Amino acid sequence: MRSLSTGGLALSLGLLVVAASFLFSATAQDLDNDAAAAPEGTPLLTTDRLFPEPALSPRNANYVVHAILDPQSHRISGRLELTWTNIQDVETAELPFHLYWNAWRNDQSWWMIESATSSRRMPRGPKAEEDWGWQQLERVRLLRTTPPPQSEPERPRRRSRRRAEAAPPPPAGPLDLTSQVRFAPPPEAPEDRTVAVLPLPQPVPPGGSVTIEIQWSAQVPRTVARTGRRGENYFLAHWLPKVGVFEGEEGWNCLPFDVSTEFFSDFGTYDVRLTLPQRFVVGATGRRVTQTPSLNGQITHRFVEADIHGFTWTASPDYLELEQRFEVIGLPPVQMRLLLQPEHRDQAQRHFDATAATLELYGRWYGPYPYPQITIVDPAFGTRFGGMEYPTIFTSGSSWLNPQGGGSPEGVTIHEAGHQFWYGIVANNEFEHAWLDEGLNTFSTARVYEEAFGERAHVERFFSIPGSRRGVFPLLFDSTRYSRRVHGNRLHRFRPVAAVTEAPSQPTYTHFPGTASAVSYHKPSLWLATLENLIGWESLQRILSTFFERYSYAHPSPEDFFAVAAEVAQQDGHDDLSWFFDQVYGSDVTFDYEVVSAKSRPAAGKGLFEQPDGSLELRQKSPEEEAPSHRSEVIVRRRGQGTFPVEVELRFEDGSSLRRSWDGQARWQRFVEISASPLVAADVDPDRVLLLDLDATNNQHRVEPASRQAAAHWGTRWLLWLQDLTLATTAYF
Amino acid sequence: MNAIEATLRGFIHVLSALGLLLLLWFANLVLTVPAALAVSEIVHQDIRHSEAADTLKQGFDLEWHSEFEHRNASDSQSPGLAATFDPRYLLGVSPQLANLESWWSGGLFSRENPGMLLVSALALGHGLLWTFLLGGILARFENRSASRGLAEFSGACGQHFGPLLRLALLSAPLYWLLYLGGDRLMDVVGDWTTEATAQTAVLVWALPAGLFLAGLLLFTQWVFDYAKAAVVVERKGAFSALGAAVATTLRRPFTTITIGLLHVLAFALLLFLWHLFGPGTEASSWTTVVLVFLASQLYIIARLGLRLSRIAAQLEVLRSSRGLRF
Repeated sequence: MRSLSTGGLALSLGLLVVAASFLFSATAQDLDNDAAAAPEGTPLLTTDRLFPEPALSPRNANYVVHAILDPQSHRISGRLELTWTNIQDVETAELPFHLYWNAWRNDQSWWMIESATSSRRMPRGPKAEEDWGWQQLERVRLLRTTPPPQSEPERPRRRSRRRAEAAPPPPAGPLDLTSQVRFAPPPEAPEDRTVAVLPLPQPVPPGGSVTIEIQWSAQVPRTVARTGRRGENYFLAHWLPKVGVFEGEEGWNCLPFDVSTEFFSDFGTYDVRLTLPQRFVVGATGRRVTQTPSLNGQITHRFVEADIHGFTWTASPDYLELEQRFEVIGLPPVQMRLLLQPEHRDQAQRHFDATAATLELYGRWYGPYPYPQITIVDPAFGTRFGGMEYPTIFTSGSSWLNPQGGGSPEGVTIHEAGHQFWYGIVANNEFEHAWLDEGLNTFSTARVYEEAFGERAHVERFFSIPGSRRGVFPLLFDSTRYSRRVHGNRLHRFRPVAAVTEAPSQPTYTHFPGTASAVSYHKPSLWLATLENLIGWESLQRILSTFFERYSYAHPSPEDFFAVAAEVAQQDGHDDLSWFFDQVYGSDVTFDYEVVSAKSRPAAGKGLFEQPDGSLELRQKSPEEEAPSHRSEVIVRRRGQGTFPVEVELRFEDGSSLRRSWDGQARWQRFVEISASPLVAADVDPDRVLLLDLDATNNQHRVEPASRQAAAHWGTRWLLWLQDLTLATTAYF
Repeated sequence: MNAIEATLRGFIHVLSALGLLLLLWFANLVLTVPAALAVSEIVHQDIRHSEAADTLKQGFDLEWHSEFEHRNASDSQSPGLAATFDPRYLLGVSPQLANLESWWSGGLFSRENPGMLLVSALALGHGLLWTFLLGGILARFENRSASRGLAEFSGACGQHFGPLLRLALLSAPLYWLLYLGGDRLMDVVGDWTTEATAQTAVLVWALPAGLFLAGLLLFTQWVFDYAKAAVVVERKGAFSALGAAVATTLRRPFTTITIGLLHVLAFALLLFLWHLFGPGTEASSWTTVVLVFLASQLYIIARLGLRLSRIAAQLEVLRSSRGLRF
C-alpha cells in the first residue's frame, strides 16, 4: 500500500509537472522534450518543423547543440550533432573543424603571432589561467552516414552535383573517432590548434551525409577579438567547433584563424539549447522558441533558425530587453530585439531607428531581410565586443554620454545591421575576399547614414578612464561636419596607407595585418562611390541588387560580382568597366591628379607679326587693335599610377566657366583657351567623381593665390590654444 | 582674514595693477605669436591655390584637414607644429579642455605627439619667463607704492629670480611623483574595475580618483604659491620659504582651500562663458578675424587676471598670518 501511495504521489507530481510545462509553453511541450541537459548518449532531438520551407539555402551544415555555461569557472561544456551533406561533385574522406578559441590558448597560435603586427590584440595580456581561451574536443563520434537519396525535394544548390552511383553501406552504430582527430597548423605556427581534422572511415559521396557528434568543453577568454567575457557579461562568438567549407576539387576551405581575416561557413539549420543560471538575459542568433526553467535555478533557452551560417549568443544579468517591430510596406516585418546596457537607456530609440533605417534602405536597394528577427546587442563597457556581425545578431557600440548627431551609436549600428545582407545572406569567403562583404557594406553604410541621418557632426571627448581610451565627456560641434564622400567612405583612413597596401585581388589572409582593413573596407567603399559617380546610382544599385538576388546563400566569388557588374553596365548602356576594376581591384595603383599651373595673360602679344603684305613687323599689339582676349594655360599632371577620365574646369573672372575632358592617360596635359575674360582658377575633376584621388587640395589652382584670411583666422585660433597652454604652465611655476 | 576677503583683495590688487596684467599678457603674446605665425604660414602654403581657402572661411573643413594632416605627417620642414593643427585645439572651448586634461594627466610635456615637443619647449620657456617675472609681480602686490616703475619691477624680478627658480626646481620632482602616483592610482582603479561592465560603474571610482589627483595638484600649487610669496615678502630662501608655506597652509587650511576653490569656480565660469559666447568657426571677413583675435586675447587676459588674483589673495593670507598688513 505504502509503495502504491508513493507511486500515486509520484504520478500526481508527474502530472502536475506536465501540466505546468504545458501552461508555461505549449510550444515547449511540443518541441522541447529534451530541454533539460541531454544525458550523455541520448540523441539531441530536433525537428524540421522548426524551420520554414522552402529552404533558401543548401542547408548542408545543420547543427543541433546543447551547451551549458558555468559562470563560476567561465566554462562551456557542450554537445553537438552536425549533419553535413556533401553538395559538391567529389567525395571527401575528412571533416575539418575550426576551433577558433584556440587562437587564445597560448601565444604560439597563428593568430597571436600575427597580432604583433595588428591592432587586434589580447588587451593588457592574460594574467590568470582563466583569462586564456581554448576549446577542447572531449569526444568525437560518427553517429551515422546517409547515402545520397534516390529522390529528394528540390533545394537550392551552390553547385550542381552528381549523385553517387553506389554508396557503400554505412557503419552500424556510433563509432568513436576521438583518437583519429589531428590538428592542421600552418608551418609558421606548429603549435596552432585552431583547425582540427577528422578523418572519416568512409568517404562521403556527393549527395551523401554524415552525422557527427562532438562533445567539447571551452574556456571563455577574457574579452578578446570581440569574444569573451567581462564580469558577468558574456559574448560568445565562434564558440562551436565549426565545420569548414568543402569546395569540391579545390578541397576544404578551413584555414587557421588569422588575425586580419573574418569567417566563412556553410549554411544550415541551427537548433541550439543554452543552459545557464536564470538571472541571465540571453540573446542569440535566431528565434527563441522556448525557455525551460529547472529546479536548480538554471534555465534552458532554445533558439532556432534556418539558412544561416553561424550561431552566436550573449548573456548578462544586466541587459535591458526591449523590442520593436519593423513594419514597412513592401518589406517583410522583422521583430527587432535590443539588449541594451542600462546606462544607455536613453539611446534605445537611436539603436532601433538605425536598425530600421538599414532594414528599410538595404531592403529597398538590394533585397528584403528574410529572417523574422534581428537582435541588436549593446556591448558592455570595456568588453570591446562592439561593432561585429553574426547571423541575425550583431553588436553595436555606445558610450554613456553620446550626443545626438555625433554618429554614435547610429554609424556602427547601421554598419553591423547592414552586414546581415552581405556577410549574412550573400556570405562570400571572408578569409580570402573580405572586401566583398566589408567594402560593399562600408559603402552602403555611408549611404544609409547620409539618407537617414544627414551628415554627422564632429565630437571631441575628454578625460578617459580605465577600460577605455575614449574620453568620457563629449563636446559636439554642430557646425563642423563629416561628409559621406570622404569620411563615410573612409578616404581619410585609406590615404595614409594607400601606397603600401596590396592589390585587393590578393587573398585577404596574405594582406599585411596592420593595413588589411584599408583594402577590405576603405578602398572598395571608395571605388564603389566612384563607380556611383561614374555610372549613376540607378545602375550601381541594379548591380548590387542583382548580385544580392543572384548570389544569396551562394558564397559568390569576386569574379561573380564583376560578371554581374559587366552584365548590368552593358544593359544600362555603359562602357566596359574592366579598365576600372583592373585598376581598383586587380592592382595596387593609387590615383592623384593635380593642376600644376594655371596662368592667364592678354592674348595680344609682342614680337614679329605678319603684315597684310606678308612681311613681318616687330611691334606690340594694342588692346584697341583687336577684341580684348586672354590666353589661359592650364597644366594638369597625373601623379598616381592609376588612370581615370577626368574633366578640367576653367573658371574666368567674368563668372563664366568651361570644361574640357581628358582621358587621364598621359602623365600630363596642357589646356589652352583664348577667352574674353582672364582665367581665375582651374580645377581637375571638379565634381569629385574620382573619390580615390588621394589629394583633392591639389586638384585646384588659383591664378592668384588666395588671401591669407582663412590661414590667419585659424592661426589665431591655434594661438589661443598655445597661449592657454603656456598659461597652464603657471600651475607649476 | 577670511578667504572671501582675501579673494576680493586679490581681485583689487589685480585691478589696481592693470599695467602689470597687460605686461604679462604682452609677454605671453610675444612668446607665442611666432609659432602661431608659423602655423598660419604652413596652412596658407597648403591652401593658397585651393578652394579650401574659401571653405575654411566658412568653418573648419574636415575634408581638407584630413589631407593636410597626411601631407604634414612626414614633413620635416614643419617642425611638428602642423601636427598640432587639429580640431581638438581649434574648435570652441575644446582647446582649453584639452589643456586642462593635459595638466591633469601630466600630458603637458608629453612626448607622444611630435608637435608637442616644440610646444612643450615653448611652455617651458614661458614657465621660466613667468618665474622671472613673478618676483616683480609679488613685489608689486606686496607694496603697491614701491615697485611701480619698470626699473623697480625689473630689479625685483632679478632679485628674487634665484630663490624662485630653486623653488620651481624643488617642485619639479614633487609634481613628477604626483603624476607617477596618479598613473598608479588609475592603474589600481583599472584593476579594481576589471570586471565592471558599466562606464558609470568605473566612473564611480575613476572620478573621485581623478578629483583626488587634481586636488593634490592644486593643493601643491597653492603651497608653492605661498612659498613664492614668502620668498618675496619674508626674503626667505627656497627651502625656508617652502617651510613657511607649509606652516601657513597648516595654520590656514580652510582659507587656503576656499581661496583655491573660489578661483577654480571662477575659471570654470570663464570656460563656460567662452563656451557660450566664444567666437564661432566662421570668419567671412578680415574684421571677423580681428574680432576673433580680440576675443581670444580678452579670454587670455581674464585667465591671467585670475591667476594673478589668486597669487595676490594668497599673499594677503600669508601676510595676515604673519600679522603684517599694508
